[in-house]
Amino acid sequence: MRHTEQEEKCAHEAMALLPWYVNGTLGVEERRAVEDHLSTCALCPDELVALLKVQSALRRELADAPEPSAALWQNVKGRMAAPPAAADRSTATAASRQGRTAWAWISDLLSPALRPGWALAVLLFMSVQAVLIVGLLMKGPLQTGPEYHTLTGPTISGEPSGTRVRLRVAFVEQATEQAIRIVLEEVRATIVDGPSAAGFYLIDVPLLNGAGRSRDQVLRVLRGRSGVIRFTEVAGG
Amino acid sequence: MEAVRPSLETSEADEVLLARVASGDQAAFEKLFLRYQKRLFRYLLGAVRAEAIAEELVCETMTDVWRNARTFQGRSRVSTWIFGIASNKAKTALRRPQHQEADPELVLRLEDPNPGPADEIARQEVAGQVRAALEHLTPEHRQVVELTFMHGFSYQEIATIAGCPVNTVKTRMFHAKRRLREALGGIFSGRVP
Repeated sequence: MRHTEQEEKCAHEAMALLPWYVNGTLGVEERRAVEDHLSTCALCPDELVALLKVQSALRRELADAPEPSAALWQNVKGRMAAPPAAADRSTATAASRQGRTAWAWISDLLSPALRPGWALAVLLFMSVQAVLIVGLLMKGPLQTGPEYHTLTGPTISGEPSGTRVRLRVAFVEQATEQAIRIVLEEVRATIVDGPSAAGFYLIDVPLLNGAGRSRDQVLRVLRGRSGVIRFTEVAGG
Repeated sequence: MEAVRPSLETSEADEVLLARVASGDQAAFEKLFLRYQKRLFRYLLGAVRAEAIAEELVCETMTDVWRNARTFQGRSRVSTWIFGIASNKAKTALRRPQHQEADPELVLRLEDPNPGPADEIARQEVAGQVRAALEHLTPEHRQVVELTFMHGFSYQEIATIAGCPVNTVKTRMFHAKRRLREALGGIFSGRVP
């Protein structure tokens, strides 16, 4: 029997409640109604078994789901500047966000230990990005060559030491600035050059000896963030 | 409601923690964050389909929990309140023009690469079919299915989280089941283990 026919034949309210009978959230009366129906209906027991399998599969998927990045808690901590008692006087969090300066917004996103230097660097990075985007729109692609400038932090001269690695990365076009920043902070990366005409950036990342990850771990992390980074390779490798 | 709750049930402890958060207790907030970060991440990942955006939305959700803990009035479970905030964040994110709907490798990376004995392989086959079937659902239908079976919410709680009437939740589940039934014919007919 096709299930559309089953639905027509079994229009009992109990069938609509089966998913929540399966997850155990029905009240006593609803649960009894479903059980009464199951004892007389020839069709619903099959659906009950199927829904149990769906639930089992999804519960396992939750248990096996990837953990969010370790940097997540640090990001949240960085936004806890305003204590709840002070913040909840306003009727909406959104209202408190309106009218905040870009400086305050960026500063809130960073952990206190990193302020205010990183906030300045990020603000500078955003400003330069905006100028570059306008430039690209008005003048076409930038030329590659020796005209690169360091976008954040001091220029790193010469080849990186064994405690650092330089990577060439390209960001997903639709990735937000916030998402890019989260990924870069996760591996403590600093953008040192770019973008090239093809949209590549050069980033500098501290490795194990510099209290960071190994090169392979860094590559694995960045290549795992395919929603933000579409290409990663060791520069000059 | 006297329903049997799934093992994730931590309602009373959540309320205690949230009360401490409301008074500015950062340690309590960290406990609450650790308790919810994975569930929220998986839920938001299912909604926005991009890990970095899902992580950002977890941050935004928990920041709102920190800032607005005192506004929680106990009319629902803490988990319902938190998932409601997350649901609104996902809706906003999905409206952004730069949002990218699909991360095509995401489903593949969620696969367990180490299948074990035969029953484990069979379980994974079912899990793979369920996961693939979910991809055929609309975001609203997928939300109802995941909140029900993955996160163990009642239909009333899902209505609160999704911001829609209870009957809409049931209607969405009705259509979601029909799509699942089409995609999972073997499972629904009892022919697959």
